[in-house]
Amino acid sequence: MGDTLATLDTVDFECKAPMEDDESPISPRRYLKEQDYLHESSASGWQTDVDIDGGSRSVSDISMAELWDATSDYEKVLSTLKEFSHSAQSIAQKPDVLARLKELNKFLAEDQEEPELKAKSVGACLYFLSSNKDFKHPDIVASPKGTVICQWRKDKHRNLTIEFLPDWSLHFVVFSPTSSETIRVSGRCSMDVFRKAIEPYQTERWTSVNAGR
Amino acid sequence: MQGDEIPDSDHVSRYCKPRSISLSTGRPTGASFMLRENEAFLSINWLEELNQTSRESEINELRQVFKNKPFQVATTGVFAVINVGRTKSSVVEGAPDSTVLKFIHEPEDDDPSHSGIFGFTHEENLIAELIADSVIETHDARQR
Repeated sequence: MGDTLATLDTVDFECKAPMEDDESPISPRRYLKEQDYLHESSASGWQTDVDIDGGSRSVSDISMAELWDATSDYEKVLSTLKEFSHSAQSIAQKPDVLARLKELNKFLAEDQEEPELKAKSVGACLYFLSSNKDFKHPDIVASPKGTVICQWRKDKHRNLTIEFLPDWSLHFVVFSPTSSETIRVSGRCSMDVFRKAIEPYQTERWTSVNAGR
Repeated sequence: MQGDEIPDSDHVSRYCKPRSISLSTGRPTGASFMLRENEAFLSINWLEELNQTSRESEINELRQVFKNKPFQVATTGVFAVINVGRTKSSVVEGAPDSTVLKFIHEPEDDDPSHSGIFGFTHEENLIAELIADSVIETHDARQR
């Protein structure tokens, strides 16, 4: 049995079937062609220019799908996304999210036993962090499956861990103290309902940028 | 001996790869204790089985054993040490279905102290987090 919640305030968020069993190695370009979630308006503050159809245009003028089409250069794409992440203030804190993702990609690539970092998981992580700006900068690690995991852990009793699965669902674990015990739950849900799913556990007490450090 | 259950009073070590180590604390995370999809158990080493006189010499012995592994131990990897009994208790108390882990000796030709943690699956991230919380000490996987 998976570790979906079985006790206490039971939550079972096995609500989204995998779209496909495709865990291809990192290829953000392909991913974002499929899901244009990261399209941002000029309000996002992007500064980078990209060569589209022979002419240079500001990233703020194009969709992410176009961006991935414009270049297969992973470094350039990461560099561009870095501009994006810096515009999202909540994840612009050091150590930089993208630098860490790049480091994890390197760790996995250097180890023949390990899979490559999953592009869809990276995309889901970036999207989550850029659209949940009230979260502190997380610890970011990688699973043995090549998926990205973000963790906000204050101590043994305060832990929110999210694994970003390639189908864009989230596998979360919460340890949250009450006055009498520590509630420990896990579950899987889509990104859309995640905030609702963890709401009862008041994780913002240690994950929020407004929480005491 | 193959199949022996490791006593609760003993200790085991898990080699934790850099991808799974917290950048902010330097400690292993739950990702250090997650199974791959095709793994039946989590590989560990039974420290008392190494017959050394101190933790330091046990870890040094492990470093030698890992030199013969098919993968290279990373400079930033660590050996995490957990106590068998305390980890089992932590998981029984903390996992929703009171999972009972088993620590079993699984010796290999070139790794006689090799053992495994049985009783959970690659999808049980909560248990991996509980095991990570049970880490009592860490040591550099490569001597600096």
